[in-house]
Amino acid sequence: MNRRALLLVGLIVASGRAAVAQDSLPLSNIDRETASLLVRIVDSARARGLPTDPIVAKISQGVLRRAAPDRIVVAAQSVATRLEDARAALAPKPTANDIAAGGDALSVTGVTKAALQAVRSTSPNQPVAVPIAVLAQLVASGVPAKRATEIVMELIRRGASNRQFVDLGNNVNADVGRGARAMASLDVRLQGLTAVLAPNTGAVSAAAADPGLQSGSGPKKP
Amino acid sequence: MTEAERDPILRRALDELRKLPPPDIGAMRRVVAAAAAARVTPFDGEPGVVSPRRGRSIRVWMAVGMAAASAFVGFALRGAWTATTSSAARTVVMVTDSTRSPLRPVVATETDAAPISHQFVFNSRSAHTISVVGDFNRWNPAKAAMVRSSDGELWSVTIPIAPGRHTYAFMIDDSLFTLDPTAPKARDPDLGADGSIVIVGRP
Repeated sequence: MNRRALLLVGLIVASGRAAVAQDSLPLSNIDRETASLLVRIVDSARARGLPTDPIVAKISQGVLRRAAPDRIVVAAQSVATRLEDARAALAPKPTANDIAAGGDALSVTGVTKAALQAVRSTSPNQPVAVPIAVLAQLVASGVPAKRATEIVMELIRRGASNRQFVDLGNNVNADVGRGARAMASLDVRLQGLTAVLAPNTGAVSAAAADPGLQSGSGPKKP
Repeated sequence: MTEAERDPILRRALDELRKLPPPDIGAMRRVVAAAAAARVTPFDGEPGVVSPRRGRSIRVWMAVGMAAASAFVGFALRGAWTATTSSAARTVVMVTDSTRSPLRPVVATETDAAPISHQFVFNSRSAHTISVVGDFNRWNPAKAAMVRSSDGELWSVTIPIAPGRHTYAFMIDDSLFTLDPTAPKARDPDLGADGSIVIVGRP
């Protein structure tokens, strides 16, 4: 009876977990084998303590866009891997939102784990989802990753708010959309932003010596 | 007044704790009664005779029942606690009294991660239905149906989004994907499809 009871409890727990996973995944139009793989990827991520929303969102997007099943599986696995990398880079205690933002940033060509680590080291005790999001978007807009990382770190040091980060990212996006070069737009937008931030603390950074980050100075780098 | 109550920080903490709803005694009684009923359910064997093996079985089922009851009560209390702390957090954010500042940093961190309302707008006269789909709503068209304005041309919806960078698209008449002409676009590296980008953050 003991074994039967334990088996019953085990079956209930297992079926409950599967039900949760399948309930949150849009698996109705996916063949059984693919669905099983996807459930396994999500369950594995959950067991490792990773946020599963980005993986489920990627699967849902693939299903909605009628992507090939094997491509959806590879995409889901890629997202899980990036989340794992982001969590390691943002250690020791990143929030789920930080990990999701880091995973998304790592999907942008040029953004590396080292860049995430650098941002985290500048802001060890605060959420970094928004600065990382802006870093990713700056790089996606055409700003070199090294320069974008330096700028984000410097803005964190100087106390830029999330709103100011978002405005910077959106303004550069808008300028690029109107035909401006990303670097030129960034330098101009930084002049406006640095003018209202606290003075540079003199912290060691490549950006601290960059004229583009000095309040009131004109951009010297194209 | 105790020493703890004289401390302004502890007093505030105590005030918040006093706002917690009382536990649902009725629910707890029902769970305990159900566990007790399970305990006396007849097993195989002679009625009224408890063999050593049956005694072990009863202990197993008692343990399972108690674990279920504990889990239920725990979830109920956790839900009440979470709901109360959330509302308390909202209340604290509005406080401007400088003497209450010591509790702010924790609340500010929670607020930083809280979703932010964001409005999406799209222009179409010919569409019958438009939804915004993105990673913030798991690309589910049913979760963010846009509403047509009175002039019949502008569609909009406002939805809560976690701070960060998000990919999205508009889905027209449940079939056609369209990007936001006012937003930057990016190619999804995994699926190869273009999406619009929005970055949201709290002021």
